[in-house]
Amino acid sequence: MGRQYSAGPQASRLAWYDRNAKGKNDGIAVTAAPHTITTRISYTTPAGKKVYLDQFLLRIRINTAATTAGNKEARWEYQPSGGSALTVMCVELRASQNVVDTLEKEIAYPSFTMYPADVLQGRTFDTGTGGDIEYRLYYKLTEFDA
Amino acid sequence: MKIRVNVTGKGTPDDPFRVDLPTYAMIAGSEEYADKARKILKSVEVLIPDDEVDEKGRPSLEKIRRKYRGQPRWDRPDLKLPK
Repeated sequence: MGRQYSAGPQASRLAWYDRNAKGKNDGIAVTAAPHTITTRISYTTPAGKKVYLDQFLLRIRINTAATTAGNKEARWEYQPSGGSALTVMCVELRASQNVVDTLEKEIAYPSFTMYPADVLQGRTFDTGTGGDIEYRLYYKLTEFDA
Repeated sequence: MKIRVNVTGKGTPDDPFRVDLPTYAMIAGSEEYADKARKILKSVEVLIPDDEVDEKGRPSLEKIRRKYRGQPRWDRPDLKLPK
C-alpha cells in the first residue's frame, strides 16, 4: 500500500539539533569589593544563528564582611534586538546580610530562544563600603543555524 | 583569546561599566582603575571568541562585521572597537 500523503516541503528541513548545533558555555568567577553596576559578561547571537538557552547559574557569597553593608546583586539580563533590557534572573543579598559565608544561589533552566542580535548580559553591583563578595555567573546554551 | 581593552560607561543602571564588544567575559583581578577610590574602571582583560580577532590578536572590525552582519549595532561602516 502506498503512502496516502506526501511528506511535503517542510520535511526536507532538518531539525534544529541537526543544523550545526553547538553547545557553548561561559562564565565568570570574581571576588570584588563594592562597585557600581558592571556588565561582566556578554553574549550576542551571531547572524544566521538561533540559540536555545539551556541553563543559567548565579551565585553570590559574602567573602569578607563590609564596613557599611549595602545591597549586593548579580543578575542576567536579556535584551531583545533593538529592545530594552529585561532581567531574566537575579540574586540579591540585602544590606542587612553582612555575615561571612552568607550565600545566595539560583540555577534556572530557561525555555526561550534568542534570535540574531539578541544579547545576554551578566551584571553585578554592591552599594556597600569595604568587604568583598564572590560572584559567579555561568550560562550554557545551544547555538544552531537559523 | 585574551585581550586588554578600555572600559566604557559610567557605572549607572542606564550606562553600566562594560566593554564595547558583542561577546566577552571579564577576567577576575585584571581591573585597571582610572580612579581607584571612586572605583572608576579604565581597562580590563577579557576573553573574546577566537573568530573575532585578527592575526595580531586584536578585535577585528572585518570579522565582527561579518559575524554579526545585518545587526545595526555591529555591522556599520563607522564601527569603532575599543582600544
